[in-house]
Amino acid sequence: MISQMQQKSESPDTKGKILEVRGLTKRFGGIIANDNIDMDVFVGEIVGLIGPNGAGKSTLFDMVAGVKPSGSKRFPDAGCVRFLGHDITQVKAHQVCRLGLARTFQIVRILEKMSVLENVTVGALCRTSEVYEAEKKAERICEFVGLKDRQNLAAGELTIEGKKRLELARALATEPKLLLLDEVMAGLNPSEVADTLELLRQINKQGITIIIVEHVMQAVMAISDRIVVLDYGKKIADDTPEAVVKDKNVIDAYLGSEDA
Amino acid sequence: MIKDVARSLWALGWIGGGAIAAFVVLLLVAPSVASPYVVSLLMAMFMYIVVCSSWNIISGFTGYVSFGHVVFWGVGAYVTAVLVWKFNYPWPLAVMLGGVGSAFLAAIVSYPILKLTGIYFAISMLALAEAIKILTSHFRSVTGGGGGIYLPPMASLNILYLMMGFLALAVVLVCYSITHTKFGRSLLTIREDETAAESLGINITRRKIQALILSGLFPGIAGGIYVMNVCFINPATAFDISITVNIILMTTFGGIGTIIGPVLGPVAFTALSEFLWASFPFLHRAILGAILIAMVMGMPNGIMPFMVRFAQWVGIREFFSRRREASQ
Repeated sequence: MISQMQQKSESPDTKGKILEVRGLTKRFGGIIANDNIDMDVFVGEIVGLIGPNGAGKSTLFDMVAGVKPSGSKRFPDAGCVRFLGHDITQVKAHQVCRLGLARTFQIVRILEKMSVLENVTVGALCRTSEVYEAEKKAERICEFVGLKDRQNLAAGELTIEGKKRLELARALATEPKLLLLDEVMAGLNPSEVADTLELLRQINKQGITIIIVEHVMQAVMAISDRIVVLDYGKKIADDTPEAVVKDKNVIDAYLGSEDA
Repeated sequence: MIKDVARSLWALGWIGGGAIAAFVVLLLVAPSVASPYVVSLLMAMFMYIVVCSSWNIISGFTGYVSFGHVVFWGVGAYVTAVLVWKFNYPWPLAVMLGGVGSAFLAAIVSYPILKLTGIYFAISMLALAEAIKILTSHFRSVTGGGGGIYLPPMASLNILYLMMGFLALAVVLVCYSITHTKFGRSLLTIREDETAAESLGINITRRKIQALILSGLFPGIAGGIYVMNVCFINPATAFDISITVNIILMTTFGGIGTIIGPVLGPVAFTALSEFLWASFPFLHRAILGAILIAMVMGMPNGIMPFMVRFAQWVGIREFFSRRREASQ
């Protein structure tokens, strides 16, 4: 009831808002991985999520996507997450995926023993119950992301670049409205990074909103409309790329503050 | 889903269809040409094909290794025996209800037990089998207690033999078909990575429960047919851990997670152990053990994957893949 009333009172504001995070907190024992985070993402945006190692970026993704982090409860300790107006704070990963929110993992979770095409087919089966149909769709997506010539290989045989691309393809196959990408460019060489950026722009052009966690700074600065910076689980900045690089808090977080 | 099943059966082609036809002919002809000993051997083989293929659904496809699968077989046998003995049910109905009973047991235990993974799941299945064994000994008025149940022998055993044979065929076809459906693909995904499966929209809890129920259904029917055949059941035979061990051994022997593996395993294993038993009356167990060790070392994934690799090596697979491309 309460959440419905809140939604109503905020309805002019929520228009165009695809994701809304309010007061999200997650503790792992004594460590606070996410500390009272507020974040909004609007339809069609590309938002970069950056921060030093251990800042809580992947945990935030887990909490939004309803994934159970290893060695902890599935859901946040406090706060709420709203996706397209639905309260998804207590919703499990598979239902979140059905609603149209897909993610990739920092440490790739491809299905090594299946072929590349079969991997993507599993994603496509989210929207159909016919394997044959799903396979046709998977073929189109493999072509789109540039895996067509490798689609019959066992997924475990791919290079790291191929595996990252496969995760992206598999997430796309679930027909997401919002895509959470966790370090899809880590470990890639500069030309591969450029290819991936181009691919992400094309995906975005199809109307898919993207949140991207990335350590490759040039890449994330180049592609993001807006950047959110986390440090020790807290949000310390939320602005355009140009403004964020000049932000004192951000510089302190990355380089260490002079007063300390 | 029905379209996928139909498509997968169509894809069996002439070779698959021929193999099925050959099996059916062999099944029908065997009792009139072979000795009763061979027929009973065949029946044991079919029974193990049923239970191994069923075990393979939860343990091979889904990756949850069960150390207590005998419980479904035993419960099926007991449900059938009690219905015939106490309630005078017609035996075919009782056999079918045996399957319903074991599937029902799977449904009840599935939710809590599938929260466990790996060795903990294996042990809890083992404990379940032992617990049911003790319960059947305890409730004497229903189950006949430790003394077991004797049933009047049937006029002809031929029908039971045929039922077991067709059940084996049906189970293998079911296993083959589900790997071509969304359900089967979900199970294979769960085996590889549950977190990934979930984030791709797969309801892993529901899928695992469905897999365990399907995996418990067929052994129950097989247990019912078995008990009608031998006309006797007691807790020690119905929940004998050596049956679970045989299931795991045979499937490993044939190839876990494959479709033909749980067929080849029981066939090769039964043939081998019968041959050794006849040739070396005193040493047959030791020799069988030595062969098993050698096999596990030589082909750790079982006969089926080994043969696939061998076939690849000689280029047969190339031939088949070219055929498939041509047919598409």
